[in-house]
Amino acid sequence: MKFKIDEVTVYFPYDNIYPEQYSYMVDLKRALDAKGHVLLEMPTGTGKTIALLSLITSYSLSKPTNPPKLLYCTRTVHEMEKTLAELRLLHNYQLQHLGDSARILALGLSSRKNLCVNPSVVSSNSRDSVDAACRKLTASWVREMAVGNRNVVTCEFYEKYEKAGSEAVLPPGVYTLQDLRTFGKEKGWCPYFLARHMVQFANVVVYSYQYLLDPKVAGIISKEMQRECVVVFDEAHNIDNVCIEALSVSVRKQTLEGATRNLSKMSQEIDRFKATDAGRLRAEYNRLVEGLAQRGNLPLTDAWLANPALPDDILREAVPGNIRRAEHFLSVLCRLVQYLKGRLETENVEKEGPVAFVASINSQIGIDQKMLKFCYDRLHSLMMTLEITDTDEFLHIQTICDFATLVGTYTRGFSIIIEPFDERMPHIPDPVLQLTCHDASLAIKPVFDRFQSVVITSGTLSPIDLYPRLLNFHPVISRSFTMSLTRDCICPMVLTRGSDQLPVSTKFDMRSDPGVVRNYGKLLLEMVAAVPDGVVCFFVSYSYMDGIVNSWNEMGILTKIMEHKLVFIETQDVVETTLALDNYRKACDCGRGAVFFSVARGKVAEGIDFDCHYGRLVIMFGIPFQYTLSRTLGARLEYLRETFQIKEGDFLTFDALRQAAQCVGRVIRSKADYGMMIFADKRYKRHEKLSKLPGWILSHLRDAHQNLSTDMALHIAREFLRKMAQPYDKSGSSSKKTLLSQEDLDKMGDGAHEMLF
Amino acid sequence: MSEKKADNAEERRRNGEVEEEEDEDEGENDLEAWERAYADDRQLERWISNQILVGSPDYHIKVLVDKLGCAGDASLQNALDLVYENLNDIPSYGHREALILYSALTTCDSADIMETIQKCKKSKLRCSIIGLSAEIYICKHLCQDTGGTYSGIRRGLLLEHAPPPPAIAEFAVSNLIKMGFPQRGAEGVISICSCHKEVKVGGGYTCPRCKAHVCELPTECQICGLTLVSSPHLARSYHHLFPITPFNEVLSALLSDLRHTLPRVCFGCQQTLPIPLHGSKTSLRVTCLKCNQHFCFDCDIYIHESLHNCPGCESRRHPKILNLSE
Repeated sequence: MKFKIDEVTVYFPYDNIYPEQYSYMVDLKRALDAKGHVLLEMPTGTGKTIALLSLITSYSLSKPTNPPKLLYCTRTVHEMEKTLAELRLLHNYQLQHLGDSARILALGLSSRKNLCVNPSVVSSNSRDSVDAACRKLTASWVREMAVGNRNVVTCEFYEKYEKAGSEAVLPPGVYTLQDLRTFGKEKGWCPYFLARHMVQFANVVVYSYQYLLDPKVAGIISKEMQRECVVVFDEAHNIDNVCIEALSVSVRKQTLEGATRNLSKMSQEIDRFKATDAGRLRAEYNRLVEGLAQRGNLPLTDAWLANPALPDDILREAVPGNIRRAEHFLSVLCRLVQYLKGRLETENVEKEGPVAFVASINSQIGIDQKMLKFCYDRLHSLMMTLEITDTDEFLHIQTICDFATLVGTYTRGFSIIIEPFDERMPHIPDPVLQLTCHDASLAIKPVFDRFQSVVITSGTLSPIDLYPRLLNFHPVISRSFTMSLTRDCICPMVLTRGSDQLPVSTKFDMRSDPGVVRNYGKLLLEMVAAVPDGVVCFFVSYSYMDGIVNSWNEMGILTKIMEHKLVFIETQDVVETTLALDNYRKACDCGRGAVFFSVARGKVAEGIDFDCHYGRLVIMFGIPFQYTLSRTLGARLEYLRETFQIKEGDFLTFDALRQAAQCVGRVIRSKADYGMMIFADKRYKRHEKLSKLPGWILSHLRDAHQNLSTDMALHIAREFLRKMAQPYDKSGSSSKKTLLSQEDLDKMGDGAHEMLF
Repeated sequence: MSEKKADNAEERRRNGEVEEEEDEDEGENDLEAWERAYADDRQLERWISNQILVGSPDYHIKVLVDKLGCAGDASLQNALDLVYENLNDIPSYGHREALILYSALTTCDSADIMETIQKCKKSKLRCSIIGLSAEIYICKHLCQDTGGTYSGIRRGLLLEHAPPPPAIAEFAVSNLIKMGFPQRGAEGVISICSCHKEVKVGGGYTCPRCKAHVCELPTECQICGLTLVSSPHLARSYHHLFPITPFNEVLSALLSDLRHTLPRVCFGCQQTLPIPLHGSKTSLRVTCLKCNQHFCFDCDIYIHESLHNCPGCESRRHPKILNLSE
């Protein structure tokens, strides 16, 4: 269908549209007009992605003189592929209606591991080793050597791509990663470099968050994007954590040992070069004197991860004199590694600001802030000069240099925490030195500054006013949409008491109380007997889950649960968890029924959908607060309080409830779906907790369901399931439209969308 | 005449007796018991083999009530396997259908139930399930795959399952089968029936081929194996298999334009068709798609629910048949 929003004709590939999609588009359109940033919350299963794509592409089509480019960021490769598939559908629809003028180029970009077609390279198992294997075949000096020497192996795909030169372009269309690989294989061109090249010309680019947020990657990929871009962060409820991780470094004992090995290998190399090719080292030295930290325009294949600091903070000046010579630089690094080793041997937890840390480095080993700052670029230059291609082995020294550069660059928003052992296991020494960033706004600031519109959207962004403060920006529109439903297909409940009317909670002083454990067990037992197919349980942490499952086993509750459903459990091992999930699905499919025990903040809670019969009920045992005794969290809370005036309690509750909402949101993935959600903790009933849940859950949470005991919950569940088993009218009754057709939209005309909500 | 699907009656009858039972006492405790009757395989087996091709609803009710108690985990697969075994012998012109009342929330199967479902699908066994508690995926899947319907429990649902589904064109192939139409025995005649081996006074039927006495129709003659039916049975199953298409309402616009050319009286009851108020959307008359005759609403209901024949089509067909016989 096609319809008009103000002056923009929107092409929408389906015959009907949900009212919330329509108003989502209206808001988005206004934000694009205002060239500002937006924050939009819309529940999953209401077609966020297609609404975003169809509005933004239609918007570009309506501005033929200067069409904005769309940068769409997803969290996983799977989501990337899904988005591109959706875009292809839309693109075909637009082509049907507009003909060739609607042709666009859209592609996904991912790491070499996902794009490489060279069988010898892609067989490596980790991302870093694929990168290194690629460099070994494509580095400029390897290729130079190959010209003279036939025995040097190069990558045929890259050679062909290079030979094609400026003719190597992608014809317009929508390319998923799979399409890129197929295209690359067909033409014999390297898909990875082709894609990276084409990113500059594409109308739509779909890639991962890191390509924009992590300065190391963004520096080489997204540097040349123009200002007229619309940046979309989808599923962005954890965007602050991504930002923080992008600027945090942790150094362990193994890292330091690896770095020492790297250093000795490098010094051997330097000695070898001195003996054979001293001119090369001298040339590097001269270049550094002239103030070129890098060798000007590097060939594409040599481009390495860029500086870990943000582009604005990098000094554009010459490398300081005392680290210009290779051997001097190495000795500086040696001293630094030695110093860090010394610091790691501490017995107590230490916490320091970057300024104090740099000062102590300066006084003890004589490395000043400026030298630290240049560590990264200097190392990069040295590795180029030494022609090192197996970069995966040099990761350790890179980490050290990342650390040095960040410490040298930033004075605020960071802290250095040295812990001799894990708080939870004090007998196992596992020293770790962490440089943690506390300020999520640092990493995302360049994105907000550079691009005209940034859209942050997810199913769970509540409370929506906290994100602008955390990320330090001013959205022109921030709005939370609810779901229009034909029937009440979600049934949230807050369970505060067990069957014996005693309160249940995972509060620290109550969690090991056998009464609470038994009440939780009883709850699950009664529910598995009343709910068909799949039930998902989320616990607050792995250790708590282990403990409670153990007690259930001793009490015999687990055996009773097994009479009704099979039990599967998430572990920290990815392979094991995947296997458990597969079998869980099988058990749901064949009617045996299953329960899945999982952990909030775990892999399953973030990325796995339990739609339809895979999740008819989700029970959230307790409130998933972060581990509050963690030093890094403490430091971050302190920083947030001082800088953004966000109270510790507020932030912790916000963070816990967005995780809880994320967990329970796993069961509803479309409007035809239905599911129940039980929040089992007495603390949920407090207003300050409840009010932080997303609007689409709250709107279905009746007052009567906010303080239940197990037997009441069971009764409600039975009623609900019986009601949901009845057939229903998909398009909604005439009183409240939940599906709008072309006619409805035409009828509404302008200004009518206020009527809908 | 005799080639039509009488055999479907045997399958239907099972549904029939289930629904009568349901009418007598509608309580949840009984529903629970129903599921058990199905879940326990041994008893189910006995029950099915006993009742197959016995016509009387009373007999079925008696057997079912006797066999209600059972225990153990429910297994949908076991139930399906049994139904499959018992219905697989039915000739291809018959309908194979199972109506399952399921109240358990799980099914504990010994093997892959998906294979069983495929097997049922292949042999055109139509499975419908009435879920007595929550909706279970596998039940829905089974119904979708085999062409049946899945529904959650609500009042009167079993009755909806009582009329047989229309014949599926692809296997409505004509086939000749031998059938006997026995006469009802005279009152007061004493005879020994072949089905119960008991002395009966009056009633019963006599097989036209071997003269054996049977109590109920339809059945298979115990002596000579002839299928015994009565003509109303055949007629009723014919109506269900080939129902009359629903009548269409006449557009009121059409009515106002062509008032004079359209018939004024209902073809069924010959009463004057009511004239709608000016401007109202309904025309208060319907028309048959085949013969284009107009009917009033009362006749519409009577034709579809009781008569199962369209007077318009029937009266038009007569001259044709006469022509053929000439």
